[in-house]
Amino acid sequence: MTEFLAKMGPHDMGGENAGPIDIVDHGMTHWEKHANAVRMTVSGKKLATLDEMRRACEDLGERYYELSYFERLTEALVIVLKEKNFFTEEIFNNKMVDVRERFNVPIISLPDSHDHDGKPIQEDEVGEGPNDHQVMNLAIQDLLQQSNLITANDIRKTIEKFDEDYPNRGQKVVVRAWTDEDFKSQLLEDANPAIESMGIDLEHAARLIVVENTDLVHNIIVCTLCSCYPRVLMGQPPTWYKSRSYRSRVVNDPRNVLKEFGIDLPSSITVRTHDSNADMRYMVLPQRPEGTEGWSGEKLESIISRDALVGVSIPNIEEVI
Amino acid sequence: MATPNFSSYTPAPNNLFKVGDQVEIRQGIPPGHRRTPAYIRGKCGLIERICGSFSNPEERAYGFDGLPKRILYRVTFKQVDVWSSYQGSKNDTLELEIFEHWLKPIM
Repeated sequence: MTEFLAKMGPHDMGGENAGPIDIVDHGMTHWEKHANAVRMTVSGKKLATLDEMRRACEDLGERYYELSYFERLTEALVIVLKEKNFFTEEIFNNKMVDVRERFNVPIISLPDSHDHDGKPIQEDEVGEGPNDHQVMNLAIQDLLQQSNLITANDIRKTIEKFDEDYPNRGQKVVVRAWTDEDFKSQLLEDANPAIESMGIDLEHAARLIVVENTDLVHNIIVCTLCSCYPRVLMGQPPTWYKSRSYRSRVVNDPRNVLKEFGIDLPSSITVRTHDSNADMRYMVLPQRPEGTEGWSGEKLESIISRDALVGVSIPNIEEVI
Repeated sequence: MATPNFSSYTPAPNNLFKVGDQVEIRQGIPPGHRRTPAYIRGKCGLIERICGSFSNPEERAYGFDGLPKRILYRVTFKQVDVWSSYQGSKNDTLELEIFEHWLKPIM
C-alpha cells in the first residue's frame, strides 16, 4: 500500500508495509521505567525539550531500527545533553566506567544454610549486570545530580507517578461521562478543564481531545512519528502502541488492524483514525454497553480496558469483574 | 458539576484558515525535524478545528525557543483521498494536526 516515494527518516513510518501486530502489552522493565523517568525529569526541568530528543532519535538513521524504544530514547538523550554542554563525551564515558564499577560486587561467602539455589548473588535483576543503556541512564542521572540540576527524589517521584497515579484515570473520566451528560458535553468540547474539575491534576500537559464512539463512528488513535499518548491520563502506552507494525499500518489499513485486535466493524460504521502528530493528545470515549443501567461506578470501570481508550477494544459486559 | 474555571484553548490570532476550509498539504521533504508525516504531503483535506498557537517544534528541535508561535489546525482527510488502494468505507477519515506554514489554500 506504500504510495509515496520519500520519507523524512526512519521514524516516518505511517503507511509502510509491516507485519502483524503483537497485541500483547509486554509492560516495562525497571530500567525502562528509570529511563523514562530520567527523560521526563530532564524535559520537566526544561534542561532539554522532547522536540530535541525526538530529533536526535530520528537522526540515528539505520540504528533507529536496531535499538529498542527506550534504548534509542536513551541514546538520543545523551546526544542532546552533550550538545547542550551538560557534560562532555569524556566526562560521560568516565562516569559510565564508574557506574559499571558499582555493580562489580564480590561474591560473598555465605554459610551453607543460606542457599540461593546455588547461584552467586549479584546486585541486578538478570544476573548479567545492568545493560549498557541502563548504565547510560544512571550516568546521566549522576552527572545531573552532581550539577544540582535534578535530584534522586525527582526520579523516584516520576517513576511512582507513572506507576501509581497516571494509569486508570481515563476509566474514571469515561464513567463520569457515561453518567453525567453535562460533564460529557464539556469533556467533548474542552477536555482539560472538564477532567481537572474531577480533581485530576493534568500537570499542564498537552491539550487533550476526547473523541466519542457512537453507533455510526469508531475512533482509533496512533502516533506514527513517535509515540505521543495521553500519559497523564492513561499511564505508559502499551508496547504494541510503540511498535513499527501498529504505527505503520493504522493510518492506511485501520479496519484490518482492528480485526487483529478482535473488532470487525461493518462498513456502515465510519472509522476515524487520529494521528497524534503534533501537540494534541487523544482519548476515545467508548460507548456505554447496553445492560449496564444502574451499575456502580466501580463496576462500570471494571469493563473499561486501557485498550478501549485507544480504540482497539470495545467494553463488554461479559468482562465484568 | 463545578463549572471549569479555565479554557485550554490558546489564542490563534490572524488565522489564515477557518473551519471547513479546503487545504492542501505542502509537498517536498526538506531536511530537518518536521511534524508533518511524509504520507500526508500533497494531500487535500478540510480544516476540522483550530487547535491554537504552539511554539514551533521545527525550531525547538534544535534548541531554539520556537517563537513566534505557529497556528496549529486539525485537518480531516478522506482515507480514499490519501490512499488510492484504501480498502474500507469511503466515509472513513484520517485526521492530523498540521501547522499553518504547511498548508496551502485550495481556491
